[in-house]
Amino acid sequence: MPPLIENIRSTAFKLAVRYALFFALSTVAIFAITYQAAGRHLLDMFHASLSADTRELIALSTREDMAGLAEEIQERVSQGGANDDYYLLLSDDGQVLAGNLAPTEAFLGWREWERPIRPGSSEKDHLIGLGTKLPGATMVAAQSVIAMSETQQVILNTFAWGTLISILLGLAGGYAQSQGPVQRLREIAHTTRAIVEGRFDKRIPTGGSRDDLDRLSLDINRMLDRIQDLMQSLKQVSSDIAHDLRTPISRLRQGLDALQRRPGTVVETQAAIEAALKEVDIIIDTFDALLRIAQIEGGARRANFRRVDLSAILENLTAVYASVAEDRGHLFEVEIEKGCQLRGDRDLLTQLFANLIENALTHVPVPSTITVKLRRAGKELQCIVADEGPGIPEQEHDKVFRRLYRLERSRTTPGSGLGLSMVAAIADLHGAMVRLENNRPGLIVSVTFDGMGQTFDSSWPLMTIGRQGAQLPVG
Amino acid sequence: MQALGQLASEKQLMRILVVEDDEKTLHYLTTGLEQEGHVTDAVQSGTDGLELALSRSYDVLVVDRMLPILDGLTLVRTLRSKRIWTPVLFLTSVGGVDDRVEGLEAGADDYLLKPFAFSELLARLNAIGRRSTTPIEQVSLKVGDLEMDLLRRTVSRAGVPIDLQPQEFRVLEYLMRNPGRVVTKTMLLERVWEFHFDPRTNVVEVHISRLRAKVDKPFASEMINTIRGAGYLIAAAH
Repeated sequence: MPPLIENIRSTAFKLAVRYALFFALSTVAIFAITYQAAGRHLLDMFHASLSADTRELIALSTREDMAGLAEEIQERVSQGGANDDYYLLLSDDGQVLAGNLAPTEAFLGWREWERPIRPGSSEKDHLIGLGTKLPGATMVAAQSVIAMSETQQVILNTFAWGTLISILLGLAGGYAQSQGPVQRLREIAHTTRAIVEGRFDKRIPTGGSRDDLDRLSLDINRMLDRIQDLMQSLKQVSSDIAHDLRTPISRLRQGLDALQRRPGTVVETQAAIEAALKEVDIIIDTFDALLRIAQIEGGARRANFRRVDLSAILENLTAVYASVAEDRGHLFEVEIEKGCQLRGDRDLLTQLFANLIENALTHVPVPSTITVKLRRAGKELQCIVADEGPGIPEQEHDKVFRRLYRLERSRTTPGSGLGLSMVAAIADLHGAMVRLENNRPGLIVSVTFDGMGQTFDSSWPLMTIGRQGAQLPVG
Repeated sequence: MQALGQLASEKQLMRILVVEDDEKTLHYLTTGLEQEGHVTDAVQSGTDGLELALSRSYDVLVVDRMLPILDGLTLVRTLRSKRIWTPVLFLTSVGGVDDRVEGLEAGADDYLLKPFAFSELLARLNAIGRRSTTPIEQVSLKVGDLEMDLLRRTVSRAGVPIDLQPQEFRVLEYLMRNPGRVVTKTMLLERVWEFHFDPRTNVVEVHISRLRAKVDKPFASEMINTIRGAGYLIAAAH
């Protein structure tokens, strides 16, 4: 689009045009009122002047006589000479006693009419007059109002020009004003078009002005970052799913294939079917977990948030898992502050901490101390699950939250590689922050929520936390 | 280890209405249920299901959540609004995190995600089909010579007190509330601990083995049976 047309189509310019039109309309209204009032006033002045003139002449006629009046009128007509004043003194028998009007122009009362300036001329004069009946005669006094019309014409012209200039100024101003925003919008459009064409790394340039367009640009950029992240993880996930499901599916196929080629005894067949079902269950579990994570990330579950007692959830969990830990020869340490409440989903929070505890239980060599703590810290609720196992190398801290990501050494242990993705998704749904820290040796996973209800400083001892904690931008 | 058939005397035979639009699944369900000795009626639409449920008497309904025209949720809501309290088990393939809550709120008694193990379905049908006839308020449970006092929270077998940890007590209580019926791992997880996910550790097995060490080992006979591929079952020792 050529820049001129683009500017004219811009919102800023349209706004300016609308204002210019609005301004012009109000100018016209003001003019109409003024014009009307001025016209009325001028007319009133003519009326007053003609009335006074007529009264003066009547007074004269009673003081002297009709001949005196005729003389006075004649004098005025010849003296005035100008076209402004007109008189007629017409006797009742139809004789013009004095004046410069035609006898046909005699009347009584007020009247406005037109007559040629000179006899035979096409130029018209506009007159206003007052006719009075005198004893034996009719007198008409009139004045040309052409001067008044001229004055009104001047007013009209002035206003017309004024209005035109103000409209033009409005349009020009609007055009000039629209230049800045149009340029910015052009940049935004340019960027979005680039993204449509597949260049997802493009971002809208932002100035430091913090005006509305700048804020919009920042928001759009943030949105683009998020979309790019999602796209990336989607790409990652689909290839990971394909890769990860290949293993159980090929094992399943091998098992069934072997069974078909060499049918064994009933017991052997039963065992082969059982193994096949186990592989199918692994595939289903992986799909279910992926589906669940996707649904949690969708955020719809937030609608079901209720006030939940995190302390009670963790007490239940630790009571259940204490036996498992003990069974495996681990030490299980639990310190839970009572009454820590937040708004959330009970089932999901249970799953979040179960995942963390199970991670510690499965990845840590025996014997180890597994610690679960919950405490208030100001308005926040801090929960940690710590172990003394091999930990997670710091360069992998942000990768372990990806779907299906598994550390090299845990490839052989059971697990889908979805546990921590689930943790991240649930934490994100609750607006919580998940951090991985080094326990030297081992891993500390801390989850920090915004709590609700009573808040007070707790005397619960802070534990020494490694400095190189990876801050995780969950979500 | 006992096979399911050996416990047939403990099993009640039920009249079951199955509402499922997928023909293969419907066949799989009715065949399986009939093999267990249950009597089934099978329909493929929600409207037919509602009509049958309103006109005949069943012990339990198995209803697919997604049905054409009249979906499972509406079917159950309609039944409940007409004061028909036949236990309902929902089947679903949606796998939605909220479906369970939604289904239970509509008036269903249990909920099973497709695909499922048939033993899981049987265990759950037995549990809910029986529920309507069991008094809810009980102060004590008794299976064979095993007794549980729900008020004092004590357990004894053949008069010998057994000291149980609170979690062990809860597991045993759930088993004893379903005497002679298979209780699956998932049922224990959901009902005893409210775990609505699949744990990766052997948390159920650990608790069962602890219970066995206290309830069975010191005595001559075993009461807690493992039903292979299905779950656990508590019954009076023979």
